[in-house]
Amino acid sequence: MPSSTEPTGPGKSPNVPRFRARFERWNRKLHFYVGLFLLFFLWLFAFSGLLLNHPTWTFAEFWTNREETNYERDITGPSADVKSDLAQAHDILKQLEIEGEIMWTTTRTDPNQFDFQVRRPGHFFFIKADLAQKRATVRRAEVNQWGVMKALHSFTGVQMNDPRNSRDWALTSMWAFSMDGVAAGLIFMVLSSLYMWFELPQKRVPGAIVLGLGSLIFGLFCVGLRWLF
Amino acid sequence: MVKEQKLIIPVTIPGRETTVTINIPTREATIVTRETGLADALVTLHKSPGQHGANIRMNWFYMRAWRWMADATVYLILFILVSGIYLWHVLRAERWVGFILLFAGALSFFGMAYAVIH
Repeated sequence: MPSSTEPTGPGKSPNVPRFRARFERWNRKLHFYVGLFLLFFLWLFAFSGLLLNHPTWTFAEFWTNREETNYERDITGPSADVKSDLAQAHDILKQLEIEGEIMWTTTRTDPNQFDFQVRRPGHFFFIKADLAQKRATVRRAEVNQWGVMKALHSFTGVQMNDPRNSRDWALTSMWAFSMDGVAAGLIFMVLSSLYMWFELPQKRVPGAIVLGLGSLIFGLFCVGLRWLF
Repeated sequence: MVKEQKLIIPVTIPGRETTVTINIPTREATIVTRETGLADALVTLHKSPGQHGANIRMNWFYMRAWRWMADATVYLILFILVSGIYLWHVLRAERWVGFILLFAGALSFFGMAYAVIH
């Protein structure tokens, strides 16, 4: 019994070379294999993208509904071999048993005062360490599932215009790497579907019209607006 | 924003940033334009409206139109995902392979999300 993924498009010549037939078959197979593997990632990014596109939707509000706890802990001062801010922050986090991506939001002016944030989806830690007093004050904020969803969409650990913030948590790198994988998978799915469309002669004209229209709109926003205004 | 009797108005078109500085006492305006290019245009469009200042963002018709396009794209993607599942489900010969990949994808997704969140 032939596989259901065998190309079945009308107008297909019976003399199609074997290599091309095999390519078409695997192109079709891989198209939905990749789609099925990425299904949950795509649902997340599509739905969270919709939420991020509408920040005024009140049902998805997360920051005003956060739960906060404050506490203080004794810490030991940084050892002599710990010199950089990042190494000091890691040292403090280890003592506080906190894990996440370190965010630099303030400039350090007093060497004894060390303030930074730690984030991971759903959790925010605002840490103020007094190295002279050897005390750390932690403000911990927990947000709801909408906040988690939005954070997963944009949790890369880097900001384009802020070179100070770079990935410093292994799990941030893992998640960012999975985002790259999803993007690569999507590019493959678009290219494979373009090939499948092109192999259907009766769909070429309507497909070309839709593709042209989409490209025109895309071009208008990415390039055209600069020419027009 | 007003600072030292100056009104500074940043204006963004995807790929171009313009800063209009109005000196209120002298009633003079300085306009500085910077072409930021295609890559920056893509980033601007991708990140709009952003998580802060929701009430003042997307105040230009074309950016609102972009928001509608983004919405339409998401709804279309959600439809394509559902129709894709249906099209896979009717292919009996590929059902088991599909289930395995779907399960592997779910395991990867929930495993990674759990690790990052908890």
